Amino acid sequence: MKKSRLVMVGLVLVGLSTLNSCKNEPWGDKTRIVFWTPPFPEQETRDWLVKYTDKYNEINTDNVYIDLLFIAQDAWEQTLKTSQATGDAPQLSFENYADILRKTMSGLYMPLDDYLPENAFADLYENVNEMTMENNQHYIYPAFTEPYSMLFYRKSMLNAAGVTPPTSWEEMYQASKVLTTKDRYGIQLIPSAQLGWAIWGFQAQAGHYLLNDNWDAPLVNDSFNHSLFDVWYRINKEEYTTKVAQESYTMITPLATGKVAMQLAGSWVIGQLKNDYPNVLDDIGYVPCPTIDGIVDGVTTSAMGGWGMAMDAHAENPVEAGHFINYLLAGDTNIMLEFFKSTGYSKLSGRVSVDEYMKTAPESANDPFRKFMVEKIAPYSLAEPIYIWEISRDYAQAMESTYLSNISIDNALKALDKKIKDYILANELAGTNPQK
Amino acid sequence: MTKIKYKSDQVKTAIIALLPSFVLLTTFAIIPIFLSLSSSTLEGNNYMGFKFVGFSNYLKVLTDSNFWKSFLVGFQYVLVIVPIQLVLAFFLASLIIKLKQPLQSIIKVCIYVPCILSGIVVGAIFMYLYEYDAGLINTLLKIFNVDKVAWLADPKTALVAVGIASIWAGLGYVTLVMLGGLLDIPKDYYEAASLDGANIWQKFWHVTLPGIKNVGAYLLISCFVSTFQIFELPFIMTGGGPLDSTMGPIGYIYQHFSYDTTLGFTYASSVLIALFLAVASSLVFKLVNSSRSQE
Repeated sequence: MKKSRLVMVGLVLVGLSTLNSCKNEPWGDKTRIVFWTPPFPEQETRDWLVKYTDKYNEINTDNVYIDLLFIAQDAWEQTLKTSQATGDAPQLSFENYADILRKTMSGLYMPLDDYLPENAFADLYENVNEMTMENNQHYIYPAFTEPYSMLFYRKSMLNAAGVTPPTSWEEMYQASKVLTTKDRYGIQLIPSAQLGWAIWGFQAQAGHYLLNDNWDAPLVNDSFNHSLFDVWYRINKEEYTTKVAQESYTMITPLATGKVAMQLAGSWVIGQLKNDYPNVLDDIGYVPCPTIDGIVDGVTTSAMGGWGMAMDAHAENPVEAGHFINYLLAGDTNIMLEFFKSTGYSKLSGRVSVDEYMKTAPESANDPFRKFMVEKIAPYSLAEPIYIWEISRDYAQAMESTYLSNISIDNALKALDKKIKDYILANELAGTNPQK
Repeated sequence: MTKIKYKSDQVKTAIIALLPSFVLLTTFAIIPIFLSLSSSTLEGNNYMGFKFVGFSNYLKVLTDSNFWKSFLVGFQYVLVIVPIQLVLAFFLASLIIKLKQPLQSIIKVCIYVPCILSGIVVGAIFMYLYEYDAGLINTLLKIFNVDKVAWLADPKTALVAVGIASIWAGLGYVTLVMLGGLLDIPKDYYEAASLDGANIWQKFWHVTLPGIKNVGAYLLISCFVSTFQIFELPFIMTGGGPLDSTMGPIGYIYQHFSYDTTLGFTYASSVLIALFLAVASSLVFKLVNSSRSQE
């Protein structure tokens, strides 16, 4: 009897402590809306997310608590996929434009049009609308866009070698050759691990990616890709680039530390330079990504990607979740201005009003890098491709096979062409382009 | 054929002893296998609903050249890692037996230490060793005027480089199991063989090898299965590259899991690989059992 009483008391204590721990959760009695985001590289961006999520939780009267969780970048896709497969997905998450339409076709996300005010969408640039819409509905609200490909360089190194920033692929090869010394490589091209997606910037220069509009034929076995493979082959084979990448494509460390004289990178690295390497900032120059013919003004030199917020198709509180998206990304322009400041103006807004506001705010209006992106890169950039990842991956492998396995460029392109045709058949891609 | 009768308390003890394993095996192996089997015949997700597609996911996997390439890489890993690991473990275990305490314990601990390191740590250690511009190996090569080698970025060397890291990480476990097998062989056998005038080679061939046959078979199967499924080290050290030269079957599954919007293909490839490993393992078991019954 005594024993059973003891067990009962134990159970009650456990129950009470459980209840107590629930009450101690930050959302208390409020409805919890989970919001997942990858940890963006800049600490200032993470601080911005925490600051405004906390602020929203303080001021909102919807009896809702936004639970912001940072998911490790390396495990982002897998964690999100697992949560979706087990029916435990967050109601809100960041997504990138490349994936959103393909995932929308699989029913993963909810259209946002019913949950955000009309003027939020009217504020978007037309090209951003195209990146975020399917069947006339928006599935993602943009936080930012960013060009993928530019050429950053050390002014002092180029000056010392008497080299001007290259504008054509051939000039890029010649400059890499001249700038390579015993202790330094001429250029860091795109590292192997990121080549599949980071090469989109170069592919975009052709005005299209690797499939035709109907997604029923590859567009790879041509002179444009032959030339691109060739310059890549020569720079790698002659070791004017690092044989083993010193850093990921997302990091500007090799250029900032002087291990290379030029580096291909996306716009985001300017934030790293401003925040982490202010002492070399004055020595950093940037130009549009070199093109096949050396013409870089008024033409596409980069792909354009970016991230925004999406709502899970099974979201239980879409109205409240939409309210938060509207607050964070579509409302007060000052909030977004603070975001762009946190990234060192390395990204662009998808909203006209935010851009207009940034043109008048002294700090952003006078930022030379932002001006360069707005005038030279963004207007001509091509939205990133949305077809299955394997196609981009195989393109990168075909490219690498020329200098790693001595496959001739002709054979590499022929094999790639066949492989993409096989994918089209196996995955029944023909006629499934949602943007057509 | 006589039927052994067990007492009821013996049966109860057996059930109690087996229950945890049974529950764990059912929860984490048997049920997932059946779930994977049924899911591999479906296409869709929690959002769109599921559609029965029969064997079409299997057909897609089997006609994907990358799947067969990953299979080949799995075999290459087995060829590079398993024989070297088993032979090295045998020699180390033979050496340890001959040592006296406390040297024996020190060597055992030293050999086993890599086993307690996570694959990420092992990968990081070897990445430093293999580093192209300033790694230890290339620095040593430079002393002898040998050109630097891109160990992890060259398709010709990457798999072997990952394999060496794997051998180092797993050697301690294999050696200790092998040591257990060697210690189980009665000393009388060696004494009898000596009296019969057997030399070292004859003792090895007629006493040691049959004596560690079962342990050897266990190690062969477990090393084969774990090596064929190697994932962590290539994931950390090469990401499966260059040119997929280090991406085994599990890396292939992982990639589809990460990038496909539906999971039917991933399930089908998992089932095929599990099926292959089950058949391969049972063949080795059968071989060992039949040879034992002939004795």
